[in-house]
Amino acid sequence: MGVLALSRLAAEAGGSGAPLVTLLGVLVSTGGLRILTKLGTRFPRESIVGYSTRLIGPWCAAVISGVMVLFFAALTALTAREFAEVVVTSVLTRTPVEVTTLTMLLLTALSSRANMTSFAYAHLFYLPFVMPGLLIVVLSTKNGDYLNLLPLIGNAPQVGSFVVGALAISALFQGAFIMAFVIPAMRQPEKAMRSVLWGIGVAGGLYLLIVLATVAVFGAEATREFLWPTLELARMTLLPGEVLERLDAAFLVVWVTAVFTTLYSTYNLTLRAARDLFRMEDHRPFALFLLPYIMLMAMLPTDVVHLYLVMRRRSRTGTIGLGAARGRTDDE
Amino acid sequence: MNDALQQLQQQVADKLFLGHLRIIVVSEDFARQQGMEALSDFLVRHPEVRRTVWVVVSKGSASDLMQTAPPLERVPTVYLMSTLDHAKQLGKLPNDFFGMFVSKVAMRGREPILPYVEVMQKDNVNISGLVMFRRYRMAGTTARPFDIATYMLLSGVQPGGYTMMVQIPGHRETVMWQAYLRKRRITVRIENGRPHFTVRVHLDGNITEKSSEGVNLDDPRVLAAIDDAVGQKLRSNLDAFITLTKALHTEPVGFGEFVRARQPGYWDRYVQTKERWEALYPDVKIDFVITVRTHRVGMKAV
Amino acid sequence: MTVWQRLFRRGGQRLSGAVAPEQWLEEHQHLAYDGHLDHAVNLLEDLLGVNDDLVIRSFRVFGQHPAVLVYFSNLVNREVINEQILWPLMQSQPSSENDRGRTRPHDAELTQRVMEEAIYYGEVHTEREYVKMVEALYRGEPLLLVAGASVGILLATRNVAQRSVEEPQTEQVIRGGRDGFTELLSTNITLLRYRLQTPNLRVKMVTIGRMTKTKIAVCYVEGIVQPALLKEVEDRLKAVDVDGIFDAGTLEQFIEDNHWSPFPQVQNTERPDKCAVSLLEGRVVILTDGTPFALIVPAVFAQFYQTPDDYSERPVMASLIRLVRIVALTFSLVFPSLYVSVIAFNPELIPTKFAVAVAGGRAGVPFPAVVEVLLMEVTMEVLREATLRVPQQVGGALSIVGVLVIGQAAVSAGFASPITVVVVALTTIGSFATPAYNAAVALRILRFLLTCLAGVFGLYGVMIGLILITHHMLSLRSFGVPYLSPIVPGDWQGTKDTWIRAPLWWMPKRPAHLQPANRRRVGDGTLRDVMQRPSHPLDPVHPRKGR
Repeated sequence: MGVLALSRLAAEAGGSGAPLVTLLGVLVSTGGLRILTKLGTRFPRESIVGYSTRLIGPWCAAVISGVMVLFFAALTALTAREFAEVVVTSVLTRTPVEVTTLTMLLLTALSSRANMTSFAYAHLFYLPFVMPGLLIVVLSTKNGDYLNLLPLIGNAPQVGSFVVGALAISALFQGAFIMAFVIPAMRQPEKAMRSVLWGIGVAGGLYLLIVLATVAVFGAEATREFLWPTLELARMTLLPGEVLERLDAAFLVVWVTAVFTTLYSTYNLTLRAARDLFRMEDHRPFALFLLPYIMLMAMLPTDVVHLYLVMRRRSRTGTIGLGAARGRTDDE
Repeated sequence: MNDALQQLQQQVADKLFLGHLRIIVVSEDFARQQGMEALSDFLVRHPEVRRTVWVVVSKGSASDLMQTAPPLERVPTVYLMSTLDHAKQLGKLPNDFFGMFVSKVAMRGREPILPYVEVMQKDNVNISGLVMFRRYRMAGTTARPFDIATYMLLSGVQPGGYTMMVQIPGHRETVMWQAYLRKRRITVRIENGRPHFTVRVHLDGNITEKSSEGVNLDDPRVLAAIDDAVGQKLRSNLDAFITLTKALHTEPVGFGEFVRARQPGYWDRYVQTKERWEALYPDVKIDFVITVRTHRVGMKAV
Repeated sequence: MTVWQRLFRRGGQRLSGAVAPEQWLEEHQHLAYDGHLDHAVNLLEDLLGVNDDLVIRSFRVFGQHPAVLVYFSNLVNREVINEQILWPLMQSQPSSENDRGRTRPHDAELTQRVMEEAIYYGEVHTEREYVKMVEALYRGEPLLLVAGASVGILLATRNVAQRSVEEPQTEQVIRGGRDGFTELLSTNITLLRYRLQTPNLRVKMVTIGRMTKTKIAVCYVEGIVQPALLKEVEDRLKAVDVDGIFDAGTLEQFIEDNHWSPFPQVQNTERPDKCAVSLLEGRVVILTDGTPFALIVPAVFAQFYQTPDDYSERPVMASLIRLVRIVALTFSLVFPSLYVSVIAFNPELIPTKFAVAVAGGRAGVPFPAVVEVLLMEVTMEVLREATLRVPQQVGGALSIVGVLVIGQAAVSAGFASPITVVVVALTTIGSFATPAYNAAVALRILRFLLTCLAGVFGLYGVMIGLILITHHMLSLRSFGVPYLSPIVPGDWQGTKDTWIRAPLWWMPKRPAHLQPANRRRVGDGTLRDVMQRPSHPLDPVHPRKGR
């Protein structure tokens, strides 16, 4: 699930303890990624498909890779669909959801034909785009009330819901699994761990700030009522000087970039996993070949409510599945 | 609400666009009888409506208020909108736009308020007070103009903009005293199974006018006396406001939020819901500790 | 006899028949001059005699050896030929002892004597094959053939109409050198050598163009340039096989990386100082004969909004001006599309009072915003192109018409709203603020793409377009250098000269993306000396304090 629904997830799980839930989620994914990166640096020349073959045997590895391809294809599809739903609901109300989904997927597919270097360059280039997110957070503090963040662990805290929420939030980082395929392309694979921690630090820090700001401004109760609380935050926030009267459309624009990079990562992940699975040299033929299938998958959920139900299930199985896979590969 | 818009759409040629919806006027009757629930739901759901839209409650019919504008203004609602915006900037109105209403309604220890506006003469409007709600339904209005200032003081809204007239103890003369900075700190402790609030209030202000030469503002003792008088007046205002809200069973200041945030153990055990907090609120004890300081007396020496 | 028959007969008499001279020469590549003057004259007459400006002047060298001087009268410096070549040659010189009595001296000896004693001219060389001789003739080098000698002597006395060194019209600066390249390669190399007086400056010549035989000079600074880059440039030039290279622009299209990209991947300039700076950064400069434009490779995007002024002005001022230019660049790319998407899709973004005004202005316009903007943009482009091509005398009238049509009449006719005119005008001005014409054009093309996308998808479309453009730029390479360096991949030293222009002493290293062989350009102690002035001799209070 995307960053737009992030605060809702957190607030549902922990009330005013939402930031704590987020923090836990970030920590969980940090742990997972550390294991993954450690494995990757141990086999710096191979992708995860390559070394899992050696670790757990070709058949097991093929099955796991197959599942991985399907899983990330689904993740790409659902992310694109969620994005399209937001766009159609909030900005382009007259455009069919198929069109927005397709344009986004097409954009991703076309970009995915580039090589790993361009992939890395693109992410570096889009890094400054977190700034508008920060700006919204900073500007919205004007409307915030620290009282909404108290008590820190939430009213009537329940460990169960905390854990579920943290796992759901850690699912936001599933795109970071791309590390398993980036490491073989790195010039200095030994620096991978540091860059992973940096990446999680920036992304997790921004997530935490967004949750903090949303809950401080709306209170935990109202945050639960919005479908996309982060978007609401942008709508509440005014730019000083009132050049733009509303930041929500402007925020959506920045968010397009964020979603694009996510899609770009997961699409590449799918591509590369598929390539390694079928032992192809080049991932390019797959780029457009995969598109119709992912598009089809994106169109499967019937409506927004159904979409979020599917996403929730997917992220849950995903976290458990990935966790299990990581655990297994690590044991060997 | 949607129905009403559909009918309106039938009557105008162009497509209705709500992106520039800046102010919504609700009549007092509507707010009391139907309540804001459906309206609020529609506005939150609609992608075009901005969260910073003003929602005001009008005394009398809403259409009267909408048509009120000085003859020079091209779009009447723009006039209404700027009246509210300027009042907000001058510190005479809390920044309680629609987005605030939505989050306060959802809070368990706080109730929303909206501006209460009435038509004065033919083309003039007056923000005469605040409308207090119990959930989505209007519970009542504040009684006196100064209650807006009291509310803003209690919820810690800046800047202070209200002027009050105080009588100097031992004199018949009065001075006008204007606050420019408000501070408040609320602490809560549980005594005998009931929350007990201590509200520390501090006002910084200036003297803007005196009624007669008989008052010597050069005298520190006079200034101290004025501070005292302001404090006393403030206390009576605060007490009146609390009494009013207790009588209406509504809680716009958010004392309940303090309990929820600061005393989560008590809250989780005894309160939990908004309804129970409203029931409990009239029995809550609230103490005030007031300090006032006059800083400047304007450009006249005495 | 009909005209046709006569022509045919004449053609039939000629040695080469109907074959073009070049082909004939190619077929007889190894045919060399053997000392028979009559043969040679006949052959040249047959090959080139059709040209009326061919001069074949026969005379006797030292009054005894028959010889001819062959040249194209319009290509050579006639004064030099008369005074420094013909005159001394025709002087009858006292022959040396062993010469006497022999009618045919040893040919090598004769050639040597002619070259060493009789020709008062510097650039002389000899050729045996006719192919080479004819080539030289067309380069403007007179050919001296002496009976009995087995080589032809060629004298480089080319004289081509040449304009003087002027200030470049396309890249004007406020502060800085006023000289610009001219059409002649030799002048251009002179200008470059004058700027970089180091033996490390190397100029390698290549000839490209089967017909034009255009001389291309590859200039680089040994010890700074990355040898791999130099090799790549030479390889790419070697691969060019075409009949004509008329301009640096033609050459550019043969050596650039991505031919379909709107973005230029090779920088061109008329300024020798710009070339010199690029050379010192480790780039390669390619000069082409016949055009005042030099090519600089590799080029990254940042170069196209930098000007020489940036470096001659002080850093604070230069940085500010550069920022203004970046803003203008961004403006010219996205402004119309943002306008369209805000008007057509997100009018809630602009302040209410302004929105009322905009709606009022657009009330009479019959088209949707995107059509209106596109129409005005196209009009503007047509106007711009027209002012560029029209003779200067008519230009004034044209701009008046343009101003009236676009500024006034279009609005009052209800064709466009005043705000659209403002937007289009700002955009055009923005694109004029880009120093590099070709980069500005690239952004102008993309602007249309973005505007169309904005018309369909609003801000979302603009974003899609921008992502596409960004991705294209990220995947572009110029001779292997990523196009967006030094921003991506990040390089701190390079970044100092990208958004702003950092003080020169603060940029001690050459840009890393060019992988120069020698990175440091500012001396080690310079920074210390620049930051702390050792003494203040004119200080009124403490004169000569310090060292």
